[in-house]
Amino acid sequence: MINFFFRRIAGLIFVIIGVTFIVHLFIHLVPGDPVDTIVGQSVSEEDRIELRKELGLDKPLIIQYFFFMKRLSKFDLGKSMITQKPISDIIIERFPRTIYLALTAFSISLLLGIGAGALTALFPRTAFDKTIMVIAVLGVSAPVFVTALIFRYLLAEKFSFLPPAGYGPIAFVILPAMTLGTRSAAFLARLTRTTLLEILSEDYMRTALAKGLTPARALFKHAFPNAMPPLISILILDLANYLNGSVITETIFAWPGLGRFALTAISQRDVPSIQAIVLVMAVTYVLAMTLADLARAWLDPRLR
Amino acid sequence: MMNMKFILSSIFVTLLIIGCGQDRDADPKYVRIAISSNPQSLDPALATDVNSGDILAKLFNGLVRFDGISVVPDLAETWTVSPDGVNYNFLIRKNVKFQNGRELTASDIAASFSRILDPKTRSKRTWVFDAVDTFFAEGNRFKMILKHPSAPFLSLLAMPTCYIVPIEEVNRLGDEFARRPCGTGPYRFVRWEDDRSVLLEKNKNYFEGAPEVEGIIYRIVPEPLTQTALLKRGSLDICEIPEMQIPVFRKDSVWKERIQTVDQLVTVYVAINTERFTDERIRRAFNMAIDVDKIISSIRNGLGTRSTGSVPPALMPEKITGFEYNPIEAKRLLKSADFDFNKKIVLLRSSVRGTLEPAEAIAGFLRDIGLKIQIEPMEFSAMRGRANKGDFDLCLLNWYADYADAENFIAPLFSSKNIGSAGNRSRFSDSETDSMIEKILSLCQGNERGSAIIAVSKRIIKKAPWIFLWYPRTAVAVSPRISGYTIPAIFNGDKGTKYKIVKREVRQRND
Repeated sequence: MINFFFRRIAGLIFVIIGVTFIVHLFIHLVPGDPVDTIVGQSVSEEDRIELRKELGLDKPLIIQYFFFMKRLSKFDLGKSMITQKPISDIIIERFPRTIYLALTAFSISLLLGIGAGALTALFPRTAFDKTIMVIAVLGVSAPVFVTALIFRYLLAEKFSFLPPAGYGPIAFVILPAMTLGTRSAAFLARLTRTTLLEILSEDYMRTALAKGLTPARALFKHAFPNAMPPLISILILDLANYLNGSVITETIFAWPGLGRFALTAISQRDVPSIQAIVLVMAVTYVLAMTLADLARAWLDPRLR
Repeated sequence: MMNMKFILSSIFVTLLIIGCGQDRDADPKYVRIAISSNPQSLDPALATDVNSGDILAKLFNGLVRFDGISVVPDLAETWTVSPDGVNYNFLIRKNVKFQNGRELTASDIAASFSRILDPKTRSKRTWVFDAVDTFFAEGNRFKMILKHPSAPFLSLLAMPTCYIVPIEEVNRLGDEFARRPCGTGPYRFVRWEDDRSVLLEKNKNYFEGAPEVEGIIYRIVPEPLTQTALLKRGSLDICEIPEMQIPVFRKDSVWKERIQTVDQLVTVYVAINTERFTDERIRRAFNMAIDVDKIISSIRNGLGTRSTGSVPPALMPEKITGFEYNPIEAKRLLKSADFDFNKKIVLLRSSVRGTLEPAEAIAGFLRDIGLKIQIEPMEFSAMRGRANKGDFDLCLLNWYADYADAENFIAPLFSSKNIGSAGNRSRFSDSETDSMIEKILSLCQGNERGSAIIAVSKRIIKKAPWIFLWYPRTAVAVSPRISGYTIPAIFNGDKGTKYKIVKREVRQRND
């Protein structure tokens, strides 16, 4: 296990270095001159050249990459071209908000998804099962902005239970978290149901029931542990998706997280910010995948 | 069943309890105004966007400011202009204090203007001073000498760029000044949380007397439907109504009384690449093919006026007429110009909200006269890049006034000196138009200039380098708890000194 752990971590470092390189390269492929973003187009050519020098844009790409990595090693992500704020400060300010939203959404999806999945697996092919699965199909296929507007209409406009948007105490997180969470909950419910049904038809489950366990007890004691490995990886990837900021949900609910920052940065051509966000997102994702692998290996020794 | 009822009612109660959470961005002590994006910068030298300009108007003052579309005194009490139109002499108001407590002097104005022109400041608005030769402070007077007379000059001085800053604060704070601005305006800066809100509180020492309200919260809410949801819930006081929501608001018993509309100093058009469509008959035909009134009534819910040339009517000395919808004549013109109907024409549009439906409608009308139109949506700056390079057939664009003068809708857009990114994206080049524009630029305000503006506008309509579409109108909903708000014609035309909160709480439930 320890050996496996170190191998994965070593691989991780290479992946992250690769990501930084690709990010750096991509940013330079995007049309448009960062100098335009900073000073506009009415500036003399000499001043532009001066500014390019100052920003290091006159150096070859590989040298620029070297400087970028050097700064990165000191956790310096540069300054936003638009707001002039250090990007690391912006990310430190916003990441907790996105984590807050992500964890709430994750809890909702976990409770609803696994719960509905387990219940339907206990009563397969009943009316209850069918109803839940129809809802789940709708949940998976409805785009986020539709679910967002439906939830908001019902819970904030029709009945004023919740604030329609904004950032603040617990009430504010519920609508965006529901929007995010129900989508993966629906997916999770279907996955839990199929996985559990498969396991429930195994011989050892029949043995468990034959020795007198109640179906619920058999489910929790024997079926769940065996259903966990595939679910865990889906759950962790979901969490990584939430952590990467949900541009649409954060925009609809005016949630000032990482997703909004990404959107603003892209629309304003704020190159250093885009670079930093992509990097943070990529690292989060890669870390989550590694975590998922490790968790699965821990739960299922055959995978090591 | 009993159990189910219990569960449902406890969910209901829990929701009610958590629903009562305080939203500090919606504090009813303040006037709460929605803006759709984070302001770029609160440093007058650096800000170029509408949202920043709106906020800066509350924090700072210039020599002059807009009242409607006319220029009125602000920090300058009065001014004189020499008969040749090149010497401006401003008398600076006394007893004006910056929010850091120091008194404003004429030399602050010189220092603020020099700062804009300093390349180190990296202002994108140095062109505002293009006509200026020199300026200096003399006692309580501030003098500016121009290279040549410039009719829109005072209008330019009312732009946010020309707001006066305390230079010692700028030096002390450096880049941070843009995040912690300090001016002379009716409100002072309190806090700015990115993508969330900007809070201003009243300046008790404002030279025209402190505003009546405690302050203003600008709430940054990108999605228009979210804005209206917040408004109806009572968490916002002032927000723009998206076109599609207009009928809903007009039917609503509370809100139909609370809608204000204003004609913006904006013109929406399709630039025709005049290098590809050299025959003006073809360009005129494009104009006649489109039923603009129909687009305004059906897509924009009436929010706009059909264009009569490029200049919005408020800035025109007298009314002129543009193109009428006449598809039969359009077809005849195309045939007489031997137009190749099999040629594929690409209409570029940006993927910005609100361009899809108009582009579809325009393409539809052009297809009706037999053209082969293909719409190409693109990311905004990529589209602008192509428009600047002239790499397009047709391109749906708009032009916002930088200052309230007809010239701003003529010279940048149609002078052959300004082809490309400077504004003339249809790459229109006509020597007669050029010399007419030169004439306008050299004339001071007056009848002669008025008739020159009319003459050039008529010439531009005749040459049809654009498909002239409409001047949009903005609709804003103002909560019943607020009085004293009028939508400004220009984004920085509202100082917010007349706002009043007449009722503390307005909470409307929809049922």
